[in-house]
Amino acid sequence: MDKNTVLEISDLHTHFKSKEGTVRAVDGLSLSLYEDEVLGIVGESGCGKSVTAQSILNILPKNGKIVSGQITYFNKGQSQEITSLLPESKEMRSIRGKEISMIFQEPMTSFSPVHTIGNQIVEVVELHRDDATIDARAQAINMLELTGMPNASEIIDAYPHNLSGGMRQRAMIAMALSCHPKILIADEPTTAVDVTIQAQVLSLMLDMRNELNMSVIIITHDLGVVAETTDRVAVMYLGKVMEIATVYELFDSPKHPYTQALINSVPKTSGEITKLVPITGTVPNPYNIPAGCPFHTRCPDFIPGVCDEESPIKTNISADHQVWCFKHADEKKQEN
Amino acid sequence: MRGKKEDRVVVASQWQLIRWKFSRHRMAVVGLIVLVLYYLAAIFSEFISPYDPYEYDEAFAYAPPQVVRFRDDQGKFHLRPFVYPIKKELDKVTWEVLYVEDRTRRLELRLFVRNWEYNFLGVIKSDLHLFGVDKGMLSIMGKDTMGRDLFSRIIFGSRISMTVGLLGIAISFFLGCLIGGISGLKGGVTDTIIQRIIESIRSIPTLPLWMALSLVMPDNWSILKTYFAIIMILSIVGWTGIARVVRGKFMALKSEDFIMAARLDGSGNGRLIFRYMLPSFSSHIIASLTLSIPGMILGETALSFIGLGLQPPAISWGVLLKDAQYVRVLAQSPWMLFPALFIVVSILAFNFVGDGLRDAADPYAKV
Amino acid sequence: MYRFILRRILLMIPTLFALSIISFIIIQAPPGDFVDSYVARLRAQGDYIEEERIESLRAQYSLDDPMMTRYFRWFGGVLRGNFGVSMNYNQAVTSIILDRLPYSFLITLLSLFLVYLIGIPIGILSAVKQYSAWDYIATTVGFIGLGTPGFLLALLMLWILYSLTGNAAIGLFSTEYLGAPWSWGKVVDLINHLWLPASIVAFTGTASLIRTMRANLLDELEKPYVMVARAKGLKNLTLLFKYPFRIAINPIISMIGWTLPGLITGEMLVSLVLGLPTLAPLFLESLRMEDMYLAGGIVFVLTLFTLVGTLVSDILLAVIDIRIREET
Repeated sequence: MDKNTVLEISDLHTHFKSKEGTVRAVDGLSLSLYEDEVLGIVGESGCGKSVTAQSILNILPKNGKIVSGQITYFNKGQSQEITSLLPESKEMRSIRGKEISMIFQEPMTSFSPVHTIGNQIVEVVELHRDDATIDARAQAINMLELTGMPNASEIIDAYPHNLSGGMRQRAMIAMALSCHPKILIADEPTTAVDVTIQAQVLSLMLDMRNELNMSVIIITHDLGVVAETTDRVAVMYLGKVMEIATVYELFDSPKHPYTQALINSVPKTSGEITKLVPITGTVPNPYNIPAGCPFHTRCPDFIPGVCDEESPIKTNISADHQVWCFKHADEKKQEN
Repeated sequence: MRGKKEDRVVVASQWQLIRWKFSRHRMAVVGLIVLVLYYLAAIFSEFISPYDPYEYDEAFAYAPPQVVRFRDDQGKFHLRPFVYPIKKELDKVTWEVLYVEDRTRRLELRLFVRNWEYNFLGVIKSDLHLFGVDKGMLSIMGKDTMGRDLFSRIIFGSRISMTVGLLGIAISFFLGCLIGGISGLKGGVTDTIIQRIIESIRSIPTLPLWMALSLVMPDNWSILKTYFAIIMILSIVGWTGIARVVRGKFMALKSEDFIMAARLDGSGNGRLIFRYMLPSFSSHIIASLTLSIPGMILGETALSFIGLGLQPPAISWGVLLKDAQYVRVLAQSPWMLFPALFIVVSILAFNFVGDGLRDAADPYAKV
Repeated sequence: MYRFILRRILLMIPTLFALSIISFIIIQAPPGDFVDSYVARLRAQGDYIEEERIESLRAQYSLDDPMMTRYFRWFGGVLRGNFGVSMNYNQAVTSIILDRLPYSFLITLLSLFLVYLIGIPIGILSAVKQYSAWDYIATTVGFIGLGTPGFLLALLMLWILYSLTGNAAIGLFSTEYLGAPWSWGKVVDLINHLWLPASIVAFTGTASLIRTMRANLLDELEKPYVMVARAKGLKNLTLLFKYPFRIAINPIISMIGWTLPGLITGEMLVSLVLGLPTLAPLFLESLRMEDMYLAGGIVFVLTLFTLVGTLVSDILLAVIDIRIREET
């Protein structure tokens, strides 16, 4: 695999302020996204995976803010530090939708109900086209056809409520890809659609990746989706990455107790019948994240005096496999 | 700490939750306190009013309000508040009657003074009043055209003005639940007809409708009869709003299992409506009831103000404001607008309480 | 679209019919009739009136026909634009109403215009800048407006005007234009006189519109499509007006219809307080005189006004919101 980095996140902290206090939604996250790969970010709801996506595009809600850390976007030898741009600056806006694009969870509410699908797709094309003579409508129809939408030239004038859930998600993908972005972020793209549609949506996304040569980040809580679609996986818990590995290594030899627990809590469709093991305890209150490793309150391998006091540091298991856990700290050579 | 609170929330009853959420709404709590004070004033009008609202004294017609002071002309501070007595003077040039403060004497305000006699609730004879002055004349908010004490009249006016809304809403509530409930339960043609009727009534601007209906009341009716007639008139429009809310809720509730169960048990429509369906959204209804009281208060005020509602000797805020409708009176004695202040405050209070209740009644709002 | 409008107009017919009945009930409601109160008034003045004259008056106004006959005769007339004869003025109700109706309409429409002109931008601003100083000011003004009905405000204005100028007679025209033929100057003069009562009427409505606009827009700003639109790279301002505003405005448009009855009520009270020669004083007088054809006619016309208002706002809503059109 080609190892050109297209997106580099280092030590990202994104906080949300509310009446009850501050939520450290993303709390020191570091990640790299390589060219042409599909990266999965997996974790329970509330672990900060969607916030990570919103941070990349700098489209956080009003009460959210990137407190520290860098997000850098690499394109044709140029690098652009996203975190240094003002959220409403022209440079930031020209990245959104053109360089980095996003697919959202709810295909229904992600479209404005009073505008046609076409209107909302053409808008992106017109916004980012370099040449004003490009026929935005034709490009939109073309994109819809590419996503396998039947009667694309008619659908373009339909309203969101006229379409089925699966068609809406296709339209959503067409909209996100209409400017041929380098990076596509899919935030729970299959959560709100029927199981039968899920597979179609996923394979469509992979087809499009091959077609358009882009990198994809799939954010999901569903290990099945991860196993089927991704090249590499980052496991997140309470705003931090616990483990990153290629998809095979992660499922074959998970290192972090949380990853192991996560995999054990999902039924397997093949092989011997094993007992499902739920993760004990509950996710700690997000207003009050425990000190040290955030998982120590539920961890079966908890080391008192260590895990609840210091933050675990990165341990390289192999070139493509890192884990943040004291249990493995001594096994391999440490890196800062 | 937080965990404890979450446990509490889980086991709390619906009404406890509403109370918690309501008590966080600062304006709503202030509104509630104001309303309690208003209704206390309505109940204990005789005790609170320093003067008999009907007692007139031509000598003090249009006497202005006095300033309640703690510091006298010499700059000396007095712990007990006092006013300077008002005396009449004749302007030597214009021959106009002028009221001036007599700075030589102080009238001390005292609590629990004895003054005019009254029959509290028709049984307890008393002459005890919350406050007043021993000798001389006290004028908190000025005197009216006939020298009657405006503050006492406003306090007595709250009896009618503050109850019109309550009773009106009670009648509207009953009619609205019944008709709205039937409309929502039966559906079909019944629903269509009832909805058409409601729509027709609502498209008539309320004031002309009320004005026209008030003609039904003969001039010789007693205050009490007129009072109830006005409440009926206000309710004729009032029920339609509540019927709409109830119908909407019923439409949604109809398919719920517990309603079906009650129907299978042989509950009639009346029982279904009042025993099963209403309690399930009573908090929502109470909020919208509270929010529709101000409209009724304003309705009575407006009708009495233009002379089609209650007539003197009845005392309501609208009747009191009627005296202020002439520019000359207003210019000479702007304090005649004091009843308006009471109206505005009561309307705001009802709105704040209603807003607070609506937010508190929403089960999905954050605790 | 045309089918929607047609349907909507057809739906108005039963409502109109119901209204005619309500108006007629109003005409019939007071105990006694015009002749009774006319005779009573004459006698109170010490005049003598012969029984024959009374009978001929009753016959003249057909007061002794059965109720149904009178209703259909009246409604038949209404359909042809004839609301009967005012007994007090001895003149066609239609022409009396038409003399004053334009002023009532002008004040009401002008206040409606002001409500939307002021309410929408302030509502948007306080939603977008939630919890800012702006928001607090707008909210406070909104609350004051909520608690201060137009006629109290009119009383206050009256007092302020009188204290400042010694003259509170607002009227609709300056003296030089009274009775003058219509001219550009007269129109300007009329508008100069109308804006004050219209603003007073508009105050309460504006307050509630600000509240609604703010709440609607805040709801919409939370919706996922807003974030989607941001992710496309749209400018915040472009985005605001293309998406959340467009959707938040829908209920506001449909409010036009039911804002009207409140504005008409406000207009009537304010006109009464300020002594403007609109329909309001005429209506009050007709009620006092039991001149019921005039009173009923005024109720009918005012209601027709709100019905047309609702129709217009429904059509507007259907124009801007596809979902409404397809539902029906």
